[in-house]
Amino acid sequence: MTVRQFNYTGRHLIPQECIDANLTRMTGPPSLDVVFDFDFSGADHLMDIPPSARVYVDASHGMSFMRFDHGEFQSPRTPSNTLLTELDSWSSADFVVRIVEDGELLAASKPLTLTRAVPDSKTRRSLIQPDIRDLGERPWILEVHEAMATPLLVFNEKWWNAALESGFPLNEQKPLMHVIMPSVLQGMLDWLLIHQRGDHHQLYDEPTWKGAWIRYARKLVDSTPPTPVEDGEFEDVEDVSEWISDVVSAYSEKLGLTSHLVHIERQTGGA
Amino acid sequence: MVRLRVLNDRGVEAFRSFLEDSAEGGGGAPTHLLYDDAYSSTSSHAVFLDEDEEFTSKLELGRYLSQQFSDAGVDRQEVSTDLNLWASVVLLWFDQFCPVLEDGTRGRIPQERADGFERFPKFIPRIVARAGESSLRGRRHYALGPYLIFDYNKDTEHQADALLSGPINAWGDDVEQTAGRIEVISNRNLIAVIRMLYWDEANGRLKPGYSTKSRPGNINRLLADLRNQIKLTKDWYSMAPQEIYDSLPPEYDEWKTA
Repeated sequence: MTVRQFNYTGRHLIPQECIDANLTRMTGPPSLDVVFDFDFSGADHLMDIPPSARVYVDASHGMSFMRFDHGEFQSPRTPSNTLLTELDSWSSADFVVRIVEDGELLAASKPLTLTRAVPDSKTRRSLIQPDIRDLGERPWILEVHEAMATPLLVFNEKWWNAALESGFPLNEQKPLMHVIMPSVLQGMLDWLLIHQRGDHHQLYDEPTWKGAWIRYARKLVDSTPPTPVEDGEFEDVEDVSEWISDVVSAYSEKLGLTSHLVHIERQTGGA
Repeated sequence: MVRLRVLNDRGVEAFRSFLEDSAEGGGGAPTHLLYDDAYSSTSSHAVFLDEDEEFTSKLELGRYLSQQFSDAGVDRQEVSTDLNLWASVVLLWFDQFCPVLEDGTRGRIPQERADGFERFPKFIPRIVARAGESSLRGRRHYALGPYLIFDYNKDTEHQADALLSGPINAWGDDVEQTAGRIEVISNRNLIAVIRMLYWDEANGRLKPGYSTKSRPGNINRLLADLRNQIKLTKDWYSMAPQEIYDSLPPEYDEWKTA
């Protein structure tokens, strides 16, 4: 059953196209620079917002939060200091734009994510985004939690920078992504179905990245995973793990991952 | 006063084994792990903690930790995601978090048996994501929870004293609901409203029944159901505490007059 959500609140959606955002400064806490274009032709519905309404940019990451006051709706201005000093991460941030008058929420954007690896989120919609961070000796990690706008595939910044310098960005190296992505898919499904004890039926209908991952996985195989019973537990979590393993195998099969790797190996001689 | 030493992974595992095997029976806390180079090392942060410090409330604990980290020039961002550090902090004062009772045992050790990731989240913070710096969940942790709540509210008049009242090992849904939600813990106006509604100023304690889920207007409903509903139309961050208080639906009237 498809569950549709209706907005009866009167709150307007701020289109992504009205927001041009970047994380700048490559050392220390980044600056969250946001410029607004409320005259955008697809944002006519915003024109009934009072000119004096306040525009806020609410940035968050994990258990950290900062609010930036961008002044009045009629002429937003960037605050003098937009450094994300209070955020847990200095390499990525989720943010929402809110327009408020006298405590009434008049309009809000959908949650957006910026990373230093992909600083412009304006039109980007994906299941996962690359990010960079100092990970010690770990080459990469999958970072996913409930409040994220999009999960992150975090590369070790030393590796990322070295690849950039050599002219071959990591996220554009096909062989590398062939090796990583099965683990990413497995990690995502482990998190959604086992860690979060997710019900794939409910998730399937969610208009979020969680729903998108489940829809993608279910397209790969003919079967569906077990659903949790009433107390949120699975009767046998091994069955879920087995289904996830089948999905990852089907994914690898569909893309012929190992065949590609073998082909590249033969072409390059392992170089 | 000693410079903070932090358990390594082996030390955390030894601490977990103690929790599983001998804590309930009254076994001595393995604080020696904090002084054994095989299980711990001196923190890279110059943080000094007094192992003899005694805390009568979560407020005292949160304030003390916040102050000690601040004195060392350590930001919240630097420590709030360090699993081993927070396990070490609880181990340092384990007998206060889990005292030995008259019968010689420590009673039931709080644990989440069904949680395949961390059975003892009150002692060792739970990792939510696969890895990375934002992956700890402090809402169930005896030390990280009070620290986060205090540190976010340390510049306010009451410093979240209502939420942080009570012994350090008394852990209600209210603390979990607060420490586990960034939209609550970071909203000082909402924290002030919690105090206005549920704090008994005359007796210096929370009003009885404030977290009883069957009572209308209880704190869990305020922080979960109502907040999730209201945030679709209101912006509590930009409203003064009194404005939020006055705008609450009638089910909260009982608490305004109690």
